[in-house]
Amino acid sequence: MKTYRFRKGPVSFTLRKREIELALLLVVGLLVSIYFGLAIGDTFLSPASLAALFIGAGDAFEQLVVFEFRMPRVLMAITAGASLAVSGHLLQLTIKNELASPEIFGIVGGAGVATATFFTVFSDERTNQLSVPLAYIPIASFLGAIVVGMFLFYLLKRGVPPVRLALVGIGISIFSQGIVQFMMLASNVYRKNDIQQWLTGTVYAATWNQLKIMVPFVLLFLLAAFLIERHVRPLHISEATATSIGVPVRGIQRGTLLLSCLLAGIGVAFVGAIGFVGLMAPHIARQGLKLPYIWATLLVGATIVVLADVLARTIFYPYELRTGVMTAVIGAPYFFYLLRRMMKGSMR
Amino acid sequence: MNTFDLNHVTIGYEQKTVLDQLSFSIPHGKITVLLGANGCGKSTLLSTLARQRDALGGEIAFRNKPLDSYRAKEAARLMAFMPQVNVAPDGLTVEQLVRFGRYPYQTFFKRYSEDDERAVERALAFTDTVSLRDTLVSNLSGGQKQRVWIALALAQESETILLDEPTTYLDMSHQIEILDLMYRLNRLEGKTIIMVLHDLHLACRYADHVIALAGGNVYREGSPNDVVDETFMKDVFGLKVVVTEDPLYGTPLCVPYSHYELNEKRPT
Repeated sequence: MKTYRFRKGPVSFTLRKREIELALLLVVGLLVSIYFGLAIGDTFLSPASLAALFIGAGDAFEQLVVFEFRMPRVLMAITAGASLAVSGHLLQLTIKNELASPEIFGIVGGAGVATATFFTVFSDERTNQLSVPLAYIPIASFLGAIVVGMFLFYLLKRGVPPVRLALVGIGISIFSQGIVQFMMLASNVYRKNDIQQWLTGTVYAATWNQLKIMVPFVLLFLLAAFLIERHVRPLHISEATATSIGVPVRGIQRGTLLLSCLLAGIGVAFVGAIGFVGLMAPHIARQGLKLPYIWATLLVGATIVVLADVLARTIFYPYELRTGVMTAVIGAPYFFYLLRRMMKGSMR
Repeated sequence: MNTFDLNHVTIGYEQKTVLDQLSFSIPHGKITVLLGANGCGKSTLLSTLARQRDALGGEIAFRNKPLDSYRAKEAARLMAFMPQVNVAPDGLTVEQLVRFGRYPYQTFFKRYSEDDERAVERALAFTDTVSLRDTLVSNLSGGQKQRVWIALALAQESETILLDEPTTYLDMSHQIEILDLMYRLNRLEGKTIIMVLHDLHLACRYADHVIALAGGNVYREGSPNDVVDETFMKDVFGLKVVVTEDPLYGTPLCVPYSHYELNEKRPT
């Protein structure tokens, strides 16, 4: 296998040819899907006319559509996709289980409960309007995710093994579905719709203002993820081996769990629970492309959500599906495929 | 100098004490084997020494310093541990796995230095796994896998290596292969080897020092010739044996009695 070595002063690393090639391929893939995301819609733009918009040419309407509507939504898809994917990646490595994801751990469920509660509590029954600005919803969703995260963190600290934590998470997510259902029953038809919209998730309404808040957080969390990455990877072999080679296992597990919750929380805060990304993306990167790295997972996750959004708005044109519907349509069969693989593996 | 000194150490799980008030030492630069019946706590003891779990009480000194005073990476440069069951994640090649052994020497910027590369090459060469470097670990045979996991431990370049039943599930030729490897590591590289072994015969042949556990404490320790005799076998394993001499190496060889006469005619 061809390997490039880089050694200069205190810095040293190796790159494998195959990995560089795949990285380029993934970046090109993401760029192509970004192009689709910017070009496809009510008005179709050729690469040339899109490029023209970027240098200031083209008409004002096209400028508006691309820079005010399509661009934020594509960027939102990238940001949310990357956060959810990396969150799932970290969880899967830590508990050594392919089926781990922010949904399974109940993190998304917690965000859902908080959001549904928010909609129900702050609904004005006379006007059928929300009694507080809609812009506060991301805060509620994020806090919901963090509360579940804190609970899981507490259990981990008390000595509950990470694998059992996943079972607790499944419990939490079922419980939270129940609560959300109850909230929906208790609220009027408008709020019911709002909650339903959040639960499916979409990048449809993304704005630059949302991105301005979200992106710095995501970058910060991703930076932390890159810093913790080389300590998490040995956990994928086993806790015993990780301990043997000198990984401070307890601390790393806690840090990883916290980081996954933050990433999942911010990932769903603005767009709702876009499902299956945290499950699929790390798996495609790791098993499909043999790239068990954060950068690969991040690129795959971003591309999936951008493409899901493109499909969601073109398949039944002029009607739009929600982004989360598309990821579920691809993700649910994928989940069963994984489940089957795992069952086969455990029977061998 | 001793590699480990235990002083009134209690070992076990939250509810259950497995070994109580252990006081003994494990000599430096020797092959030491922990012996005992199933469930006597020898694996628990080994994993405690390997920092996999905390002792419930007492003092464990590693190279004359309290074991818990070492930082994780610092300890990993001095001791490596090979668990009994090792399963590599899917899609990992031999070389990728062995490289993990360099973790305690790496930093965020210094990810794979010349030293790292040299250590990995040496580990692969010593375990005769150079030709397998690009093979997926999951595709290897039992004996090959075991050698690769040993290579991972060797890449740590630690002076002490602890192994939990490294010969389990292997046929006899591969058992000899692994134990010969341990012997070479000890005699040629001067490494301290501490392992749990099930095969008493081979344990007696390869060990310089054995520590036998029974009844929640050390039953007897010393060279295999001093430790293993008929009363020992009765007390530790509850087995009646004739102890004779290994015709090749002169170490103790136990031939056990069965509970039946075994001279009845076999059904035909």
